[in-house]
Amino acid sequence: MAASDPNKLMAKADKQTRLSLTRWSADWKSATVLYEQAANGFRVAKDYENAKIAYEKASKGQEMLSSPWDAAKHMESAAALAKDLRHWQEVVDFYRRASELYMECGRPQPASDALAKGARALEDSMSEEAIQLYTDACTILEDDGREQMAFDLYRAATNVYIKLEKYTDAASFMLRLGLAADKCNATNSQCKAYLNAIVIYLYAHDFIQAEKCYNDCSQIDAFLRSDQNRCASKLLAAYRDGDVEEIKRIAQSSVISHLDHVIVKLARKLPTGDVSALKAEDEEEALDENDLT
Amino acid sequence: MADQLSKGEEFEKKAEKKLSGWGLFGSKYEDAADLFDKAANCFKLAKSWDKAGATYLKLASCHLKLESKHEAAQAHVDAAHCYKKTNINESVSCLDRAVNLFCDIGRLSMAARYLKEIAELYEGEQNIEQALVYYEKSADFFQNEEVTTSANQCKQKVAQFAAQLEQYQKSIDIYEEIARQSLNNNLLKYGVKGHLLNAGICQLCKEDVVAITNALERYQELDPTFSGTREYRLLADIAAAIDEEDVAKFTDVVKEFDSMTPLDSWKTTLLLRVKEKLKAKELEEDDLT
Repeated sequence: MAASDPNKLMAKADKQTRLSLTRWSADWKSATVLYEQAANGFRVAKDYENAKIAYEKASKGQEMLSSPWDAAKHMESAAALAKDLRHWQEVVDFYRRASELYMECGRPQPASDALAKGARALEDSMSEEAIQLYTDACTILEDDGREQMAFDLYRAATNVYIKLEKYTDAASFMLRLGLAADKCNATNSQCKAYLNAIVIYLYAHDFIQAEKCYNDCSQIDAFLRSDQNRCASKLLAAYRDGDVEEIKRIAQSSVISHLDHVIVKLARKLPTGDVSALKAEDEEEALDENDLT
Repeated sequence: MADQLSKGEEFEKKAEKKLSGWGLFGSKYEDAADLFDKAANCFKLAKSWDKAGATYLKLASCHLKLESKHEAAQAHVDAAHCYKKTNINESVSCLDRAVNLFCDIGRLSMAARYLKEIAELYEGEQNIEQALVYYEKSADFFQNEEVTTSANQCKQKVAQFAAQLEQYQKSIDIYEEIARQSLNNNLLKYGVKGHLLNAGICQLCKEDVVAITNALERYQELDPTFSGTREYRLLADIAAAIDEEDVAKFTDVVKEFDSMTPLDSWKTTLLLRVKEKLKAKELEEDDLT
């Protein structure tokens, strides 16, 4: 059967789902098998457009047969083909639908994976949508208490934010990773996440926010005793002193080199603004404090 | 041994007899398949690989008559594994048929796996051109099934063979792509410098100093930690040696790197090509003076 012409299989399947004088109810069981065979035939023949349509219909068929797992699988196949065809909006829709179907059968992990696949496919073409998918994928895992499985998703979302030059959002996502890592005692990931956030703020030349972030994170015992804390402390001190050479030296350190490569890239470009201005501000404040008049 | 052989022949005769007789609703094919399976197992135990292979092919045709494509494909695979011991071409042909059957029933990941096996057979036979073709097909199938790790393994093989066949740009593209992917994975990011070194060596083989310099800049942009590695140092120093047309410097640089991180045969082969070209250039210069 599978070796038959997939177009004929599709036509036959469509016929079995259409109601007529002789057919009073759709025969989804037979039709779904035919759609699956047709999809496979089209795919092997590299006719991706028709394969995508066939998988979509096969998914619908499995749904009608109350088999959400198989429906989700077919929907993912359709999404993968839509990606090859560069039909980006369909990629979003199909992966979202696949995720919903996985959730329907109580499987949050594959539901999150489906959204993550969609996000990865859309990083270059629809970055905003990719971020939304990553965020939703993280939320699914957080709701299920599987924060550890979401670490790579937090990082990926941060990378997209950085690419879009939305540094505040990127830092927020890193802090969210820190929080998730805290919940599952992943100290190393937690400390790296906090240092990542501080580097991002410094790259955005928001020294005040970087310092605030450092102070907040230092409330956490694990971070307070870490190499990442010492590195952040030295980096902020170098900023306060307006010492460009020291900033560059710290940016080359091994602690920084072990961060995510996107963050390392940012760190190597520090300082991004005029740090002597920060020093001047500091000196003014010191004078004000001693001024008794 | 002889005992198993005669047992196998006995089962085979019974199976043939079943096929030539009458059977109800295809049951004769089921019975024959069962007997062929037993016969093939006996031949395997007797280490009579050709007979075992031929019997598995008969088993496959029984399964096809019964419309059991999955079992037929598996029988072809079993036949291939038997022929592997004696007749590589026959083994490849069986695996090829298995791949087609797996494609028919939508088991693309299985098809990919056996395409890779065909490539490995050709590689073992030193047939690099065919190995490259099949590794490429396998990578394509794995990629479609989103089995990225296996896809990358096959792609690396493609890159390796492409470079051996002097298709340097193809090799460079693959290594750079794998490096780019690996950067986003915390487990794989430490292997990036290796991929970039491979890409860099292929760049050196193209003998375009400007392209090499541009590539090194691009690699630093890709992975900021790369510029601090010995791999980067090696590529930069070789590029300088090529620019200066200094064979002695080239040799020293490679020797120093090799003393700490021994170069594998693939890298050695490519670097020797670079050295030969450099020597030829130096001789040309001498002729002109």
